[in-house]
Amino acid sequence: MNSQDHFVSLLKTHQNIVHKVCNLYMDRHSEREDLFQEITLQAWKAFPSFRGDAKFSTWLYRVALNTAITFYRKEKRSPQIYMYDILPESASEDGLDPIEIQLKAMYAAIGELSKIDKAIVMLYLEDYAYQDIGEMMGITANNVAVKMNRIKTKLKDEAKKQLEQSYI
Amino acid sequence: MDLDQFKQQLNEKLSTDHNGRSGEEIAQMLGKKTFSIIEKLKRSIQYEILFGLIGMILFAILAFSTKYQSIRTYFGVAAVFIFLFLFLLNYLLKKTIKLNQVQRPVISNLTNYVLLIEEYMKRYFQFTMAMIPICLFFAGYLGYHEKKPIPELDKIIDVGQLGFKLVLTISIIYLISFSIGIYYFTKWYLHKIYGKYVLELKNCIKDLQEN
Repeated sequence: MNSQDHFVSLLKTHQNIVHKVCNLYMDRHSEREDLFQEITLQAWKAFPSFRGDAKFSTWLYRVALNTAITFYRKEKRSPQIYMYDILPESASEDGLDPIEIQLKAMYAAIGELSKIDKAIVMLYLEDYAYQDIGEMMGITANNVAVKMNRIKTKLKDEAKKQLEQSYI
Repeated sequence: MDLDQFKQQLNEKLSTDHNGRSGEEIAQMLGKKTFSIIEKLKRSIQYEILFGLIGMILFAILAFSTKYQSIRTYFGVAAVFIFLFLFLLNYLLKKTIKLNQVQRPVISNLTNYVLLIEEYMKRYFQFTMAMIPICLFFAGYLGYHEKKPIPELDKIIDVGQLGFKLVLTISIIYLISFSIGIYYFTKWYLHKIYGKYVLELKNCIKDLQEN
């Protein structure tokens, strides 16, 4: 198996990571497509430096987050990111499944976070230890813990606000 | 309602909302162009090197083929200036390639991006500003001291019987206004292209460093 085939096979297996980053950072379908392509290209260019001493998924997370954070879009777009469209419709008859609504509110709250906070939340959702998150972000584990506490409070407040709005 | 309550559901939703790509689709993507600003910078530097080389050769040919001393000096100096600038561009190109490493920790990657773009902006500004005295004042000085008469220039001075002093005064006012205009235009142009982006990256760094 040559290098390109090896890379394609690894990326195909781990493509959920890239999709996850795209869904979190971009609100429109076309933007997600652009970011997916960009992450794929950047990962392919950086692939020779992947030595295999780290997990491919961890390496890919680093590449994907770096690419998403520095992704350059020429045209000005709405800074607010609502991800309602990627959630399934409520299963209940009246369309007001409380769990689903809360989940949507939490999604919307995550969409309001800064690029850096989104990256930390994503790694946290993946169950990475604070030490690993710190290594990927280039900060200490303590700093990650402090940030994570702050993010949780921010999300709680924002989700509550979103929830109140959805009932108006 | 907090994040941990929905951890699993959020994680699942984010990672499963896609159609999935086949190996062929991923392989096809590898040949496409990138949107990365660093890649754009790299391409821009490569074009500048190419046009710099062409300009240097043309200027050198002009310098050696003309019969006027002033034109020879002007294009000769410009060719040497471009030759020196090519070294700087080559240095920037190497640095751009070296620093474009997305597998580094986020904070290092962001710092590299900011340093690189700021260095590019600084050099671009310096080069543009250095070109003003060479292109305008140096050309004027050489034209003024040209021993052989240049019929085209004499024709301009004679138009409307303006007289040499008046033409000289108008030229100096024009040169000063043009220089000031170029100074502010270059600043505005660089800020328009890279300014907001650099600011956004700096905010991300600040966000990361905050305790």
